[in-house]
Amino acid sequence: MSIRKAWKEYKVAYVYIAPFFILFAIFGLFPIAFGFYLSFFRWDGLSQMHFIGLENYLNVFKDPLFWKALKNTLVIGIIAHIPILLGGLTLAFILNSKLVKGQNIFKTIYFMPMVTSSVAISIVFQQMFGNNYGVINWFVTLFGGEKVNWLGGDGALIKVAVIVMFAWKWIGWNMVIYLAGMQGINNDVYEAARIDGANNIQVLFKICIPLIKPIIIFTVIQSTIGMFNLFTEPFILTGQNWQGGINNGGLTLMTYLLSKAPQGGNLYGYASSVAYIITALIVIISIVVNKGTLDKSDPDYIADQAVKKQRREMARAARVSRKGGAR
Amino acid sequence: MKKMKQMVSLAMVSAMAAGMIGCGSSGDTVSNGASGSSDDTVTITVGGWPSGDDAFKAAEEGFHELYPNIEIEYVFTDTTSHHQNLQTSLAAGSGAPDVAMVEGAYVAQYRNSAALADLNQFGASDYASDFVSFKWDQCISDDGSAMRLIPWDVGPATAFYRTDVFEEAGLPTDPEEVEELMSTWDGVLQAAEAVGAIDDNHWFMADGSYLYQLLFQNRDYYDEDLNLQLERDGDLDCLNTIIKMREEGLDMQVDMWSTEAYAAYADGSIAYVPNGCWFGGFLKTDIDPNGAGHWAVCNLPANIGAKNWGGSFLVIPEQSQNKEAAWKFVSYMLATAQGQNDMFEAVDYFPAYTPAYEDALYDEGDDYFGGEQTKKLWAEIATELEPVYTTQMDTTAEGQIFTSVNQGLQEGMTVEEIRSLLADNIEAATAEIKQQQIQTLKDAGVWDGE
Repeated sequence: MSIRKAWKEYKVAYVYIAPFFILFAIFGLFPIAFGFYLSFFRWDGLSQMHFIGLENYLNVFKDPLFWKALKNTLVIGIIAHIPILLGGLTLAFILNSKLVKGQNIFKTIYFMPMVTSSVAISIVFQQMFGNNYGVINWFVTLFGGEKVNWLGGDGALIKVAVIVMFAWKWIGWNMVIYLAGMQGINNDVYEAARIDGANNIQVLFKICIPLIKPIIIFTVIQSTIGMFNLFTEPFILTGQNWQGGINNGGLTLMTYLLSKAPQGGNLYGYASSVAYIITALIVIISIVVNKGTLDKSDPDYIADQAVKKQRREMARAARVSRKGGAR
Repeated sequence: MKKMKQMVSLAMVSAMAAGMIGCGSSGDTVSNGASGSSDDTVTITVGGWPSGDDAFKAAEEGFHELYPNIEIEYVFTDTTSHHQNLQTSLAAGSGAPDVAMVEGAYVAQYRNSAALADLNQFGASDYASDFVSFKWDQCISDDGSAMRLIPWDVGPATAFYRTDVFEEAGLPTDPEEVEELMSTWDGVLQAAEAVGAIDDNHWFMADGSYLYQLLFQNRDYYDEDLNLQLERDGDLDCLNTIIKMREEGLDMQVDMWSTEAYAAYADGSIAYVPNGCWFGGFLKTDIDPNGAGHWAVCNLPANIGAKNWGGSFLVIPEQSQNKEAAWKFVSYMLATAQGQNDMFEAVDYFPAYTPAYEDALYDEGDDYFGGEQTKKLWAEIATELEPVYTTQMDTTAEGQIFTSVNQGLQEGMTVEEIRSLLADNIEAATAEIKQQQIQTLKDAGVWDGE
């Protein structure tokens, strides 16, 4: 259908959906494109822009702090994903079994961290992990241990605090999503399994997890993006230090980006190139997660491939017949 | 009927679009409308962060007596958002307030920006000798041709200490005697040991590294060829004292701005806090409101001289339609004793305008600090501040001190090793800003380096 014809036929529909696209173009598309353009310039936001080609990108890769930030982010993210995935699944499974009453109350409680202000949470955690007055060190000394300088010391332990906060926040989110997925599974499947004599563990691993696998992949990608966006928690825990505290222990990629612009500095071109590198990383990881979890024996996948194959064949047949007609 | 519906929906969409466009240009409409109104009343918008608005409101009455035709509208938000908004509207060429506050950290960048009005066109240079030159010089563009900011306040740095804890530790409590005791870095260590000897729950400071930071508090990290200059008189002695303090467990090892440190200031677990004079206001209103009488103020340790900690500036964006009125506001607020002192009494922003110090206010004792003449002390320090060369890298460099010194202490480094670790960390963290600084100097035509 030609554009003109489409416009004529669906004019009203286009007008109805226009506000979103207009807003998206102004506040979404334009900044994305302009950011890419900016990443080839040296610009402090106030003075002249100077075109410097790929220099920003090269300087990012040359900066040892960038590599530290990347390493910290991956360490924090990968370790935190263990409790996020296992904890989220277990909690969802327990809530989904008929053992627990007051499902909604638990759902709300576990989801709370996700919607609470990260700044407020971080300040509370900063106090909990405090060196002399922190409740965690109080417990440590209660059991005869030595005080641990979580947020200071050589800077390595700050990651523990960040991981705890990150996991605490995302477990609830994952649980709610998994629970929704589990509730979408037809009860007949469970019943059939039970009649066949499956126990709880078998039900979890053989039925629940395989059936909500697409949802698990979705949550992994979501929390991976969350991992790259990790900023407020380490920033506040390090006393708002733009270099991530002692030994750059709490320097995440997002902190690194924001330390360049717009919050910690005014290096707009440089920050744009960092942003594009982070975007590329997220895209790569998403592709890897999707491809890596592809199950070729999955009936859905087989059906999907069959449909695609059929479409290709039909298209080829159509081409052949058109060519034949022209001749 | 169907046609009618289409008309309505189209009308709605266009109304929305118009609304959006309206948003973008509302800044202009306000100022144009105001200057064009019949009774010659001009409305200027003033932007900044708290508690700057409280300061202006306290001085507003005096301003209106002189300029009854200038109305003031306040657009205040938190510090970070304010600077982001200001930066965006300066780049966009519209939407900035007529007068904006600017934090000290941004001065080296803003003074070179053509997006800000040159205040010399209003005769700002006449006031040069009335302001603390340490602050005034920072406002002049790198090529010397323009002055785009004007200093509001200055932050004379002093030591705040707990007299009750000092007494318990068997130390003198009188400011002069305390200064005498701590006139060397060894003396500082002695005082720290005395406080630490009280019991396990008393520390001398939040973190030892802040003593070292005092040496750089004027942010004179670079020379005019942008070479890093970290050597100071007695800096190694200072680091030695810090190393010993850490070995003997005399500092609490917490960030001085953390909630943990605040609690320790209030209950006397930390006895000594070097800081800008505005910290006195923090103590009174926020950290230790019931602490009257057990805090005192004295000069910084080891005779390191007059240092500045903090302070902000005002600017008038070039895009403003009411620059004349904005200048009247700025010059009244910052360059009259009445304006500055009304604001100082309201929010403790210590004036960078020195004729303000002639007021009787500055001879008064402060009951919170046991009747000490703290304002007189701060005024003396303010006038002693020596001008320095400031750059865009300074605040990032400052951010490296706490972390580098602590890393060095943790790894058991020597004083020289700590100093060179700091230098390395600063070079790494400022690599890109330095490129920007060089570009800025090149644009100003004053860079003859490589």
